[in-house]
Amino acid sequence: MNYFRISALGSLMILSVILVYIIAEGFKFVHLYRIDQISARQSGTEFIEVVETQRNDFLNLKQKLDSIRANWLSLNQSNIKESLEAMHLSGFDKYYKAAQSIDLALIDFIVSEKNLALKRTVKIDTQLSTEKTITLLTENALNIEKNSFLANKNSNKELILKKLQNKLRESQQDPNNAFLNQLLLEKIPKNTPLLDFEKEYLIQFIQLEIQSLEQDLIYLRESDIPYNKINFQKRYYRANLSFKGLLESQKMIEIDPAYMPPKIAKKFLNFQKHLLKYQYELPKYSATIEGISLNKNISFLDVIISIVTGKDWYISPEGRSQFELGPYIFGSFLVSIVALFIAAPIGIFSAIYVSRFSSEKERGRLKQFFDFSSTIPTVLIGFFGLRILGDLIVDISNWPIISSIPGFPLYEHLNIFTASCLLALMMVPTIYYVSEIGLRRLPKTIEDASLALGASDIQTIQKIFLPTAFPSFLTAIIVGYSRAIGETMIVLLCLGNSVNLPSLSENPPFIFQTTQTITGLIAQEMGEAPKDSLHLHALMSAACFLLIITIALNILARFTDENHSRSLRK
Amino acid sequence: MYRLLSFLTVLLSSLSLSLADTIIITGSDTLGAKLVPLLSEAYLAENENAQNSTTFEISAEGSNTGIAAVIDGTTSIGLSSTRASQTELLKAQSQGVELAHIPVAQDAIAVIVNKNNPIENLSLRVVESIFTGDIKNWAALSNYSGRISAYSRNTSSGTYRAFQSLALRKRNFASKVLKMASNEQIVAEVEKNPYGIGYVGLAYINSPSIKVVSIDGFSPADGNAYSLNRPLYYLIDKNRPLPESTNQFIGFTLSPRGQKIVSSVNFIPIH
Repeated sequence: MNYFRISALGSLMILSVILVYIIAEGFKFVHLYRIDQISARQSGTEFIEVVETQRNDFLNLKQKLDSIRANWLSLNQSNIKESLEAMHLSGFDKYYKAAQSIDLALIDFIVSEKNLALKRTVKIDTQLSTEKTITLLTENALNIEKNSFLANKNSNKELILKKLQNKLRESQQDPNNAFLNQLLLEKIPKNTPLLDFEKEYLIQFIQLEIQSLEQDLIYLRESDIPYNKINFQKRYYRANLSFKGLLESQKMIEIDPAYMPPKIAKKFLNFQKHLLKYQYELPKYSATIEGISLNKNISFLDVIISIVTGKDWYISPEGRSQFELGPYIFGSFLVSIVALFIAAPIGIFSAIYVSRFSSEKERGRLKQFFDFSSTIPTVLIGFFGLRILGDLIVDISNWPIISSIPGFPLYEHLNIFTASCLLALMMVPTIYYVSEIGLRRLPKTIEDASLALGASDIQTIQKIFLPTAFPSFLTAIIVGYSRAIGETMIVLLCLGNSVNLPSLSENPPFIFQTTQTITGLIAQEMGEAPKDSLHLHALMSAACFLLIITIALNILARFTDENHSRSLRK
Repeated sequence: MYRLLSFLTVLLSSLSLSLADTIIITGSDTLGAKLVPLLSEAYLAENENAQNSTTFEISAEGSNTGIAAVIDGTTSIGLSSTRASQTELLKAQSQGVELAHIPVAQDAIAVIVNKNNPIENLSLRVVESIFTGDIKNWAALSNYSGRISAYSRNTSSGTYRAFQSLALRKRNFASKVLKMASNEQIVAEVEKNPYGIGYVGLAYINSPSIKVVSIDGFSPADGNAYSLNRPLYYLIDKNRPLPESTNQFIGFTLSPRGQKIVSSVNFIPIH
């Protein structure tokens, strides 16, 4: 008896420790990320972000021009030379080149500003770490005076030893100090008590180190920290002036629409309208820059919102990394919803078939099959997708019937659809089991009553069977869904892993684009995140988020299930 | 009796293991996947007395892990295909570690496209525009039109970092860029995708279905004129005395014999 209780309690405790640990880590990340964001704000990244939006808005326009050119080329594929000739004659070529150089003007400015910001971040970091070393050294000097340096476990002996070693290497010529250095290097690791003059020497040594560090600090503080807004605005004004000039000179280029195919000419006119609007709205960017205040506080809620809804996740070892989970959360939900649309009908219909029509023998077979398919390791399924299914889908999309649909044929064999098909394969057994159990719970009497009143088989299913069984289908769907959202191997192998929000406006259709899920993110990056880095904490917070989603789904499933059984008992 | 004997052998072997020198090598997958294992085998074959006393432990998970391991003091040699960043140097400094970069080979990063792509040459700026997502269609560059699929290594890779600073001026990769776990995978994808473009180490460009693009008119074989060139490093902690065996191994890597092995795996020797 006791043994059973202990093992049950033990597993419960381990599970709750894991839960608490992950949630605590999630909150720790929010705290650390907030500090990081505040320091980024102080090093002026927000100004650069505004210029980046200005540039991205232009880039979107320029990409319209790209697609006009692509369209033009594809209109007359047999005679590309003719199209090129027309581009040249109509002035489109010149216009296009001008757009390219306008784009470069701003990007050069952004890159140089980013390098400046990076230098500033390094300066701030250096300042912080120098301050930290100074406090450590001061503590050590105090400990030596109080004779507690060797006895105290917390004192930072390593640091002192390494500093001494450095000194020893540098000062080979000074025999007196070198000897003392050597002596100390041997004595400290062994915890041999120090003589008075040795102590004095050590304290002096530490104080000299502190002095030189403080010199560095003074130099650091004098340079361009904190950020100088006025200087930035001057630089921006200059860059913006040349940007505007280029835009104006682009307008001057003569365009002769007569040489354009009518479809292209219409698109081009449309583009020009957009460009005019953009040009008209240009002052809004400098107004935004004017409005930014470096000392505005960032609250915890702001940070959480930016983590959940932001769409940038990149790790740059030099400079600032951005950790925003938006695309991953969206990807997780999207992939499993597409999978659900495939799996739910199959699972539910087989459950209805088995509970209503099949023979006992058939039911056994089907059960065996589902049992078997739910034991296939998911990495095998993923491998199948990577090597076979993905290529198959690309091949099918090259069939003449399908490739004539806009957006097709496909070229990337790793996409949402491939992953969803395989995820569905895993969800079907779960959905089948849960809904079959639900169906078996329905009292036979309701059905009998319906049949006795003269309803046909189909009518009974439609009017009686399905409505009463609906809640159990719902439970099945939720349980299956929470299984899919936590699945890792398949999405890691078959999804293409790009930090991408699938969009409706782009080719190919969104379910054939690539994305990545939370689970895939964690699996891919956990091994590479250095110990104690912000990156590792960010992954922990992603895990925390995943945990919250699955717990919520579980509670929801339990709730619908209980509601249903209560209503059945009535 | 037999049982006793086997027990003794186990005991002895575990003793000899604990006596042996272990050289732990962690880091870059560009270096650690092929070159370093070959070097370590050759080193053991050459030094007969090292054979019994030295063992190698090599794990290649990316340059980031190598640099971090040297800073934490958990490895004898870190492998990196990029120099440590300012932030990493600072972290090292605060822990009393002084990182030394020992260049052991040169690698060039090749930009590859599908063999059906008519493009032969790209400017560095255009490569930047493709991988940062500024250009999304091949039509912007030539008469070949189709949506570009760009393939990259994942973020722990030193090649990723090197490419980011060599070709992208440290700008971020576009969100649409697909991240692959290895160089081979990038080659496999570009082989299949007529609109694909990717970057890989020189050791991986031998597939017939891909084509190496020259950058600003120079191909990877042109040495220093080619702009996507980078040295590969061994990283050590200057402030910690190196064991004799590690020292010898580094010496062996830099010796003519070692550099011959370097060129045998398609890297450029440093001498």
